[in-house]
Amino acid sequence: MKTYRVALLGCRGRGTAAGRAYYAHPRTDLVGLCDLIPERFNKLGDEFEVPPSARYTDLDKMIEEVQPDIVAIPTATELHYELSMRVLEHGVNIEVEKPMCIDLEQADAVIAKAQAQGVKVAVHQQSRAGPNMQATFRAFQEGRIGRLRYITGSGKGYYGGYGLMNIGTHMLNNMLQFGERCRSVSAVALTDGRLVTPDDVHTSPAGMGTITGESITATLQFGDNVTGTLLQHRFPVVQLEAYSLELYGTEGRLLFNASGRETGGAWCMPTPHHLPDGTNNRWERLDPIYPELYDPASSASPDDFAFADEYVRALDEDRDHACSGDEGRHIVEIMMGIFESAAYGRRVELPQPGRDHPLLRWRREHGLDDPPPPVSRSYSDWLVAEDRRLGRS
Amino acid sequence: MKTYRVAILGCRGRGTAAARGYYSHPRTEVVGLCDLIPERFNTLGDELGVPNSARYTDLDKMIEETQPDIVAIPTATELHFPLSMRVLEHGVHIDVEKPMTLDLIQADALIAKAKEKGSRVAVHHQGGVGIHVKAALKAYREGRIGELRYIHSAGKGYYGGFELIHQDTHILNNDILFAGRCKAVSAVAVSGGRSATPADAHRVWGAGTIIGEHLNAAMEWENGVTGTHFCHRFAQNDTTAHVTELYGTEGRIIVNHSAKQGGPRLLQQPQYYPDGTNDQWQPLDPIYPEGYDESMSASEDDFGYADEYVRALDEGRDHACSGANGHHVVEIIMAIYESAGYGRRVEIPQQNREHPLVRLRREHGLPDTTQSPIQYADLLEAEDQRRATPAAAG
Repeated sequence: MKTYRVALLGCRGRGTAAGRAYYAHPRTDLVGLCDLIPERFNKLGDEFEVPPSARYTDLDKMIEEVQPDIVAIPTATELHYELSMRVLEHGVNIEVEKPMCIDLEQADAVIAKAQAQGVKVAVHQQSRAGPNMQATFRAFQEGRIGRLRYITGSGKGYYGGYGLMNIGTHMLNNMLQFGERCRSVSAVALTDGRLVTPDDVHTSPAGMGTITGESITATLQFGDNVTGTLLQHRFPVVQLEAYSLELYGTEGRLLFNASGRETGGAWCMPTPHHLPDGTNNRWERLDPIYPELYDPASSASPDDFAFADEYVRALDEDRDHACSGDEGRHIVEIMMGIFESAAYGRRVELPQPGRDHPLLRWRREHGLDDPPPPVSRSYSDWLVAEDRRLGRS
Repeated sequence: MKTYRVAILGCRGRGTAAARGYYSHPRTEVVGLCDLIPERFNTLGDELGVPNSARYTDLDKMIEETQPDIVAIPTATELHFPLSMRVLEHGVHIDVEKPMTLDLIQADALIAKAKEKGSRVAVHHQGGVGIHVKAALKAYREGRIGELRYIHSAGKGYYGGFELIHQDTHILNNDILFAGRCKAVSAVAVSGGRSATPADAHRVWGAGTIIGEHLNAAMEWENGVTGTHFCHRFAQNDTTAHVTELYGTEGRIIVNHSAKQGGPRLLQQPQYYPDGTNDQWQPLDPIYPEGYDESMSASEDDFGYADEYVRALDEGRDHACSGANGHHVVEIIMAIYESAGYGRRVEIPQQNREHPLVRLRREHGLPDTTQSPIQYADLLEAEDQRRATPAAAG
């Protein structure tokens, strides 16, 4: 059985998480690390026993010298596109951190480049491969809730547009596992309790592109009569417990909550409608499904390990990762569809013919230039500035 | 203290329920009954002790002779508008069964007529003053869930577009009690697994022109509150599904709109998941109207509805389930149809008051549809057959 060679491009938080998974997996070897700051790759290299000779500041050199099968790109979001394109030029498979890109022109270009090079793209939506989501999916496949009719998901309480790009990507990816392709979206975005205007379009903190809406409520239309709701509402304080996905079936319900390894989980209820009356709230906790080779004593999280494990299986079978580039692009389509629907006040059919960023188009049509860069890359600093703009102390 | 005189126009099921509410209340007296079929008013008249001389087939004669303060109009939905207009001409207050009317042109005319005559209009959304909603409202007004941020509500499984106007008028009326005015809606209608088209808009007896086997609507309420309401067709109706859930910054309240499912419950934290800690819902005690006795033939909600009308008239104000609210409910329903049909967000109050689905069909060169069968089961069968034909996909 082949052991896949993995190079890591970016050695901060998400790079460490991805690196630990590939380091822990018996079928993958970490063969190279790259970062612009040597302290970062040295720290990670020491942890993963990557020799100093395989630690780089030049990604092209790294790829040429270590000849990886996969390059992981867990970098700042604004670099996903540029770095993906550069890595793909080498003809290697990639796994890029979510969101894959910040608009559809970029996403289309990445997919086209990967096709031209004959390589695979995976998007690091690790929660879909995680033990609780796997348990939810198995129960769904076993028919425990009958036929799916509705999916509802909620973010953690970040500023809506930012939360959509940052965390909503995971939620949408999870939804697609059950609802398959999204056919149309219809969304409402409010800022300060009123409908957004072109002046409420901002450049996101943390490089998430162009965003709008403090609170977003989106209706999603999947196939086969299945519809859904995605809530990205800003709370006074972010609450992990709010991050949940609920599936309404004809015979039961499934609930996934990702608020942490100890308190989160997955549940199944054998009745289709929830009422806390002792009869219609008999939730049964589902056992998480860990990847076969996962060692809880390892430094890898089960979600990241499962993501790496799925990539091994996908390459073995010459198929796409469950969190494929095509799906990652579809998620960008949904997010851009949500922004477009919220801005223009109309339902947006997917895939949309217009591939430019709809919020920039909207501003341009109102005689406005692209929004300026944020005052800070930091979300909390950005939020302070936004509250100040809205006249809040 | 004045005893209000009430005449009942329509003596079938809802008429019987409303009449029992007024008959049981110590401050209202049922002084006249009217129906086209004497067997009906005789059955009810005998039960309520209304003398034969006060049983009519002619509503104008009944009003002239019995001089009621309130005329209840619990008739078939198609008749709400013409009968309300005819009764209001007499300058009396009315209590009209939900939905108030089948479109906004009718609703506007009805409200204008009441204003012209100095009469009050109440819409029989008895659940809005019912024991469970009152308990939920009390907890909400006491700030037990903090600030409201989101409302989710769902129907009980009728054909979506039918349920919206037939049953979910109650839910929308309740939503207004919590969230105030609805500013805009964005809706999606799905029929047969695909987006509904103008050809899927069709007339249904007792509901007017409807669209969508499954409807999802996102609502924009006052103060930045948003919500979703959905009416999804189930294989069989299920009253367990018929809920409103209020999401606050500090807690949640869930209300089931079917009395047999029990009362509302409060969760004293904003997020819910069933881990044994974040799922501790507490029942809220129902709030019965003063003077209500379970031995009465009236349901507690219909009695409460009559009680609220007495208090409103005493105080010279509108009923909590006012004509204004009923009118707004029709605005929301029409906006949902319009948004679903045209695929765009619709602001309320909408400028164009014509039924949006009638307009949609006309704009697509489609004739007004013929009336469907009166029985709901026949309606479903006809609709399933219609959708199975190739023309329906156009």
